[in-house]
Amino acid sequence: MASTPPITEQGRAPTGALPLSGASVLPAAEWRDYWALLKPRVMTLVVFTGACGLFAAPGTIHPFLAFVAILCIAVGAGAAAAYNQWWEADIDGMMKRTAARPLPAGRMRHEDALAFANILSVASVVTLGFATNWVAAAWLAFSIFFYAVVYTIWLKPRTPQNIVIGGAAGAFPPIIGWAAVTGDVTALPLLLFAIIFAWTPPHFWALALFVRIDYEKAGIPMLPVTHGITETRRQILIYSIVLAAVAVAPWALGLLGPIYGVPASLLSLAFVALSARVFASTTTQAKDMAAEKALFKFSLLYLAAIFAALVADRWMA
Amino acid sequence: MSWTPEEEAAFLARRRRRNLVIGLVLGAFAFLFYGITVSRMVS
Repeated sequence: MASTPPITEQGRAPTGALPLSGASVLPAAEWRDYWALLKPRVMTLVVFTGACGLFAAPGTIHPFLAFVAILCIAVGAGAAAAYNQWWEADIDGMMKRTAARPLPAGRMRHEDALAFANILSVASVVTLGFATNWVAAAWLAFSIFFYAVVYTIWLKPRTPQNIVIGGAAGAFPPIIGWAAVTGDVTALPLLLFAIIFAWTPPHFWALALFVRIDYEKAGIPMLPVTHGITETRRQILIYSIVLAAVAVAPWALGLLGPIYGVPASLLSLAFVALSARVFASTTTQAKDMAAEKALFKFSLLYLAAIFAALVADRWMA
Repeated sequence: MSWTPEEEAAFLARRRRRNLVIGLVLGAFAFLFYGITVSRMVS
């Protein structure tokens, strides 16, 4: 007779009759694994752009409700990331960058990940609806659906333009933040959406250029894999020019003032210059892709600075 | 084949930590709705 209490959780029978020899047959996820499922680093950007949309919106909101709105945007983004990892666990297992995630590493069961994503989705949408309004909640629900189904399941494995569509999925937070305050969506939040939408392809393609071997192994049709390095560099430059135009549009249209317009113009010029450097590069070796790595790093700073300038302009004007 | 005592202890510790975090999250969720209710009443 066993001296220890029966364990009925995650793969082990009460009698201990199942073969148990390590993580591959005994997923025992810790809270840290669930946290990792939310892709917290990506969430940082989502929280930031969502908060900027909220703070830039005209009108007032109770500080606690603003906090709840940002929290819901973050949790909703985490839920979308959890769906993404649940669906792509097999692909993640093939790539060095993602092989240690909880699902491919065997620390978590697939059904637990799916249940976790479902719970977070419902909780974030319903809470946002009660805390602010149902327009914002509907946008949040749509953004989770778009990222999980339209991007992850439908388009990502099928088209090299997957990142362009993914850009749309990641561009919703400022709209949700704005709608949480105003209850509607006007030209400025749509332009903020357009900025993130146009920013995503050059940002991710710069990364994809120097990790393309991983994508190739996993069979993901990323642009550098399907259309080559030269074409990807050309597309990066094109999207960077589009991004620059979209980024200065709020100033040009009179929706924002020079506090936003001047830094946005300078940052966009720098973005295009770095993209031009990528376009001019001829190296095919990942370790030599200094221009691509520089653009990738700068793109993160760029988006943060643009949105910070947006909030500064709205508050100081 | 079954667990060694060390494996079993590690598993139970993991489960205990996870349950603690779930409890904290549920408590925070209840507080969140309390806060939402109060904030909506005063604003």
